[in-house]
Amino acid sequence: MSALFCTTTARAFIRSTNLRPGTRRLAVRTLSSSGGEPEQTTESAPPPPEETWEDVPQDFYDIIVSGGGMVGAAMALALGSDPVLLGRKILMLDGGPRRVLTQVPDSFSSRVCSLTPGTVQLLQDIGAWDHINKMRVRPYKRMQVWDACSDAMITFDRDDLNEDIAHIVENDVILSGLMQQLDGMQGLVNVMFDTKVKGYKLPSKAADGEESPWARVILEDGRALDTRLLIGADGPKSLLRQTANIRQMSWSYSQAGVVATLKLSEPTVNNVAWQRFLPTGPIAMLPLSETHSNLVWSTSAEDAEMLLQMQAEEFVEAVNSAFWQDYKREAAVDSAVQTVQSILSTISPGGTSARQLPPSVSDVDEDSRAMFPLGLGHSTQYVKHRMAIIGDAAHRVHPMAGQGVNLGFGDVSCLRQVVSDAEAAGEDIGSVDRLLEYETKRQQAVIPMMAAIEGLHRLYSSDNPALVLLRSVGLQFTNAIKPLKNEIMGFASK
Amino acid sequence: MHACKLCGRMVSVVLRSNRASLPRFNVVLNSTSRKTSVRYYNSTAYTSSESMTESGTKQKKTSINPEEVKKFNALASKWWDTKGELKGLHSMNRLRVPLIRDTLMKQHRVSRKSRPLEGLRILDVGCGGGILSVPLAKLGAQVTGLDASEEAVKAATAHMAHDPSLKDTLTFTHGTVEDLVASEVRDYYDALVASEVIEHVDALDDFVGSSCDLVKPGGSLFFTTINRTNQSYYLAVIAAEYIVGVVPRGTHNWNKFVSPEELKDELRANNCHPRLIHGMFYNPFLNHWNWTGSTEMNYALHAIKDASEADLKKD
Repeated sequence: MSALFCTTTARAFIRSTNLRPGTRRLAVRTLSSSGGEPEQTTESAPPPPEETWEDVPQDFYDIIVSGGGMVGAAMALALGSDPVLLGRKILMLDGGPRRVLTQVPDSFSSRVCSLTPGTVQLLQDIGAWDHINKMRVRPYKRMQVWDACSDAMITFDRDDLNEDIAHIVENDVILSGLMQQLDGMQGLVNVMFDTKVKGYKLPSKAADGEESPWARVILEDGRALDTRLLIGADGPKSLLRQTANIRQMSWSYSQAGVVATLKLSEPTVNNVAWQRFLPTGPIAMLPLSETHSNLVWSTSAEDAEMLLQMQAEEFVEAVNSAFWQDYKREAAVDSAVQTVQSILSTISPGGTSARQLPPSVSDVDEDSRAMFPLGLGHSTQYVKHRMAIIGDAAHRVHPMAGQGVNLGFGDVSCLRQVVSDAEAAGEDIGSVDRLLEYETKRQQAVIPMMAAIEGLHRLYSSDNPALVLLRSVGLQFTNAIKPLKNEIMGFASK
Repeated sequence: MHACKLCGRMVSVVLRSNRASLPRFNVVLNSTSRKTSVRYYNSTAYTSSESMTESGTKQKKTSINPEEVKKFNALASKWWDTKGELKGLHSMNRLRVPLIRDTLMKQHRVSRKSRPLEGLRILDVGCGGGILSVPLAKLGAQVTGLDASEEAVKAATAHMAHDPSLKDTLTFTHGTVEDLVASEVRDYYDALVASEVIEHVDALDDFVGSSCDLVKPGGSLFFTTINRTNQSYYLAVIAAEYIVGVVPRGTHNWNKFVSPEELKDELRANNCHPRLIHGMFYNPFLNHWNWTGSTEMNYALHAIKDASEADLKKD
């Protein structure tokens, strides 16, 4: 009995040390960077009032996923379907409304993704793929990539067109599929929509190593939610990342991406994805159905504006000529490419396929044209005590390789595994020691991919004959070496 | 009196039972004159060999003053700094928690992956700051952490105070296994864990005897400790304490290290049967433990108490 009193008084005193000014206040302040700068205030994160941990009545969750986009929803779903985490309180929150397609619209949305087999596997594991598949997906079997400045080209396919290499799925469909599966998981995963976050408070791992209290989410409506692990899936301008003072290396390309839904001149099997590297940027046509394809055209910001303003016929003509038109060539490059081609065809006859032309476009869907800015972003850290960032919040790439969202889904897979392992070992799931495994593994996957994409971007952004020669010959050789192509496909299929 | 830096052991034989969930202990709370057995927990640097008898039942002072609280916090931080002095114990969890978890899951045929140890009672002897007790409690078990060091128990209690989910499954008690036995706890625990403890114990036979008493028939005992070999002298004592410095000096007395054969003999003498022994190896540079084939250095041992009621204990 006396000892019971002891314990409660001890607890009270531990808590009261929280209130003692000058010591515990440090834990209340957000994490500062190694330079010890004070927290930067941005418009979206006004300095929170100096409250102590006990003042505000709070709800407690084991894991909170902030952000209900494709990656955030997949994260919540992955955690909720993990048997080791059964019984943990999981919450996903999003500032916007719940978006579910009650029925698939006749027209296609112009925001689509190419989902790698790795991503499809994840979506199958978490039970969302069935919903997505029932709505609308388009698998494709081959990808042809070629240069405007030379005749070099490369095709990727698997097992002589007997197997799909990836799926084109509209973003709305992906999100709907995830939401439908989440609906079926009430009780396992809590979901809050129209819930705007005012700010975050992260505990610092105090210098004396004492395990600190929870991470806190402060909502616009004044509520506070405490959690063991706060996962930020809140996009490239992530508030959580900013709050944690994680430095990000980023730049914006002077390019913008134009998307549209194209109607093909005549119905075709349409199981090939096309991408041509123009001097101004790559243009890609991705199959959606036998009659329609999706356009992703990365070009200069001014050109992008112009494309959006054009009449439909003009736009269609621009697209067709971008794919079909012959650009000016350097004679030297052309002859070099031809020489290499003949060498390669003697070494591996039939090993290099002929270049095909994409289907011609007859119309563009009304109101389907849109543009979005392109940039690159990479965070120096993905985790800190009690927080982790996934998806675009952690990394952002050029769309040319169709990898952006797949990297995000890769984060989901990895983080789920790490959290599950920690929980199975009775560890604190918010402990940075274990979370660092996620950061390491993902950086090992993301950084090479980003470097490759950035490299390609720079290589193909110029029409300098020397570079053209280099990349053309390089492309031809790569196209001829099947094992190398398989490696590349494997790299891009995770 | 000074606490062993690594495990906080002191000579103190007062039982501090403090939880209503273990009703048998209430007997001890109220008694002021009872026979206490003397237990020496020695470490070479600290020659604390006092024995505390009847006068040793000091009542825990209930007025906690800020100085003490500061000390609890400092102690708590020492135990729970995963990169600090005791980081080797934290990283050892990567081996011992799965070992205990998987063994008990198999034994009790648990297929559920979440909170698999739910419903099992575990006693963590020499729990220190609760480094092993907390993960076991998080896996669902009813865990009692037992330590002879009052400071360690206070630090452990302080540390877990902020996590509401542990409130009902984890309790820390100041005392020894002999105290529990003396208060007539018998055949109570599904598992007893004595990790990095027996190399600090003087009378191994009494310790093992009491431990076996406390475990249910058919229950498990888990030990991790250091073997008494030349290799362990050079590596675990000289290198670890004086050269690399991953273990505080004077922590270990090589003469007290326990060989697997000794431990197995003691267990068999108490109707407990060794089932598994496996070597462990610590890489101090990476702070990483591995299972290894050799038991020359560290090893883990799992034994099961006879299911039959043949409790022919020597008294």
